[in-house]
Amino acid sequence: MIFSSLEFIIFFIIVLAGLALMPGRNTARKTLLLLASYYFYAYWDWRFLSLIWISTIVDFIVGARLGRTDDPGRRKALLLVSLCVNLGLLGFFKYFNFFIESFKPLAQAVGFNPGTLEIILPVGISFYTFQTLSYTIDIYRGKLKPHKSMLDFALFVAFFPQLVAGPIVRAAHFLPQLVEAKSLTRENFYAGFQRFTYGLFKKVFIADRLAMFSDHVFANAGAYDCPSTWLAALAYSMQIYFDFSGYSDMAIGAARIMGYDLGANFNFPYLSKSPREFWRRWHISLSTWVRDYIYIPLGGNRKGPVRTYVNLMVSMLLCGLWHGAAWTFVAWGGLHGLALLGNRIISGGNNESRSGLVGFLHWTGTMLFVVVGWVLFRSESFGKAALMLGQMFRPHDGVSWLFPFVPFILLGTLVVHLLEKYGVWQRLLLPDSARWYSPAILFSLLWLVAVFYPEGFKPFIYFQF
Amino acid sequence: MRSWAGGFVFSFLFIWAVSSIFVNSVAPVEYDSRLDKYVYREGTVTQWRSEGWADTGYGTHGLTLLGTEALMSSGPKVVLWGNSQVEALQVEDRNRIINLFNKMAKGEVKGFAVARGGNNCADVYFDIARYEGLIDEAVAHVVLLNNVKFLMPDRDFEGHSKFINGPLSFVEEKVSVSPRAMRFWPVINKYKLDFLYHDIYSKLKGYSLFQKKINHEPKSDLNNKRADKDYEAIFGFVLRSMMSVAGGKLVFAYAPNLPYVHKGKVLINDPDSELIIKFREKCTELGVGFVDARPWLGEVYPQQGVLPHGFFNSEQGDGHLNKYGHEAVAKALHDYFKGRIY
Repeated sequence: MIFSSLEFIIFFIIVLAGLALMPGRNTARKTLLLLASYYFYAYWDWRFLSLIWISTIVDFIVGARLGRTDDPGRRKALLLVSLCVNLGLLGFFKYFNFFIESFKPLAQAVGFNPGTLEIILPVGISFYTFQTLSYTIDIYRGKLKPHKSMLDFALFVAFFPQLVAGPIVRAAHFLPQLVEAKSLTRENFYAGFQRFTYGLFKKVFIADRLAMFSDHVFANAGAYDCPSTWLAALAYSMQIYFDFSGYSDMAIGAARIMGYDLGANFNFPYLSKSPREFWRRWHISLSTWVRDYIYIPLGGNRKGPVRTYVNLMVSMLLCGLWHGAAWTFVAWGGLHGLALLGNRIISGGNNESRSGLVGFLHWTGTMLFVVVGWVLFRSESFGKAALMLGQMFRPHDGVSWLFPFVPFILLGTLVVHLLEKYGVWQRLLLPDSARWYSPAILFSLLWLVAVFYPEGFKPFIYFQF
Repeated sequence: MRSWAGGFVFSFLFIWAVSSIFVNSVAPVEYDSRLDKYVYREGTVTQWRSEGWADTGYGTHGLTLLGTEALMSSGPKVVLWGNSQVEALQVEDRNRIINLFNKMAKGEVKGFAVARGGNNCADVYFDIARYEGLIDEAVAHVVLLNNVKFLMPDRDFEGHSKFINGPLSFVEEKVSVSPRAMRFWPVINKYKLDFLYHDIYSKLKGYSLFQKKINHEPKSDLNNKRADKDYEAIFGFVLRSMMSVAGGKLVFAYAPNLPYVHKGKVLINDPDSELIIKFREKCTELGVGFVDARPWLGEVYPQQGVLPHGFFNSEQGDGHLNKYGHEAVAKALHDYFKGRIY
């Protein structure tokens, strides 16, 4: 079930009611949450619960065994088991057909004709496999001790607010929160409800409405004129931000209501003045995961500049591949890798803050790069991406469609980001204690969601990852 | 607690103000004893925002204000019949086909439209018979055909008359209106509380909790190809039935969704072209007029850079005729009737 549905609201109210009836009974509460999480996932397809159970059981046992042995060879073997199982599941369900199709010509050239399979992509597999891998890898590195409670670990893996589309929560961050019983407090309820409402508004009112426009233009790349194509590219840039950050806000808000903290996942990414800054603000849980479990193990920046650039490119190419089984995603990751490389070469890795005209030019250049990257990310093929970019930079005649909602949201997004930049946004809308106008804002946003709820189901973009 | 209660009140006032501008109206109806049917209530103004942006004022007998003016005027009349493409809630009344046609005809004939979204040929058949008594001098009954489906039997829309196959016949079904709707819609419309009905009540009523939504789309048997003799029989039945109520003044105007955008290209090919040729031949055989608006629709994009269907808030080349499309069809009608009736 999706967060923006009536089914989820009813489900969540029932879960909260159950939690309220069990104050202080931590095991009972965690059991309820675990069963609720399994129900939440099974609502989509109960058969794929088996994959979550496989990841959970294998990684719990691997973690426990890692805690009992110091033998380097044995530890490596155990880690390999965890990597093989999790990446094997991910590789099969997400990438099997992609690799078959990609290397089919080569295989046929040597007399082998591989076929594809009809494989359903299990929702959330990219997220929960990375989550469980962070547990076993951290234990292997000695940064984390194995958790004794299978119940806690199972809940960490399957916790419904972040199960299907993140944030990718680290075991070190979440497991300690399960040790003591959380009670439902007024403060948590208000903060969580506020966060959830903002997320719901971003997804339903903004992202879904932008999608109506951008989906059609991208599906008909090349048919629309230059201004319309630019507008669609900008619309998608905002759509993916509001869709994904909206979902993250709902997940974080729902968890907060129950007393749990999932960390941040977005930090006003369209304030970025460099690709490096962009990746510190966009999908933070993924970018830090890639940094800690791919980039740093490869050597990070510790083995000289050339190796640093190679590590950066490999990390970003894999990051692109994580987003989807298509070469356009890999190319998008590669593009960002090259940008990070260029950023490092030009600025020498210094994170100097830029202001004034120079800062504005850096911001403009970064945003232009990010928007062009999103065109590649969104396009179904390189050909369609070329059509979109061609129309943006070497225009020819086409149909005109200037959707007024896009510049309206663009302006609103700029204003909110500027308010954040000058430290006003947090004070205005996310105070520690409720201000007198806060309920008016929250109810108004809920009304807008209810009244302008789109016809037809629009899935979250990151569900497909 | 006070800030929550006050916040709720403020938010209600906020959404009331916003929705009064951005939400579609409900349209109150009244029983017209002369026509023996429910029609839009005289004096009502409705707004349409979900596709296009227009306000429509209603006069007598469910006609728009301009339509009422045309009906009440003296002189020869042209009546335009059809479905939502003619009702055209998305476009201001002055920019609709029949009113643009009136301008082009320079007052020599006056036209008005009788249409409702979802209408099929059976609805038009019964409506022509109903409205004939109101019109003092009808010189043409023009039926707008946007799709061959309009002429096909076995399409089941709730609240509309039916065209049945086996044997071919029209069966009348009148719209029934609940007492609750009769009581509340005028209030909702007057105080712009439409959001409570459209966006809260209707959505909740139609929501299938924990169940797959039922597909309400009508069955269409157009995917099943018929034999030529079947099309011959269907077209012949429709035309003869319409002629029996419209006399020798029947004209069909064909205005499909062309051009359209498909896979990155603007296409002008009509998938129904073979069927339309058959239909046109039948019209000629029986002495029914036929206006092909496709050439005029095809000129809109090269001349204006926009397609004749679609609006700033909807997909281009899809949905309803915009003001450019209405103008194109009006020109086609003007070209046909000039020299014939004026």
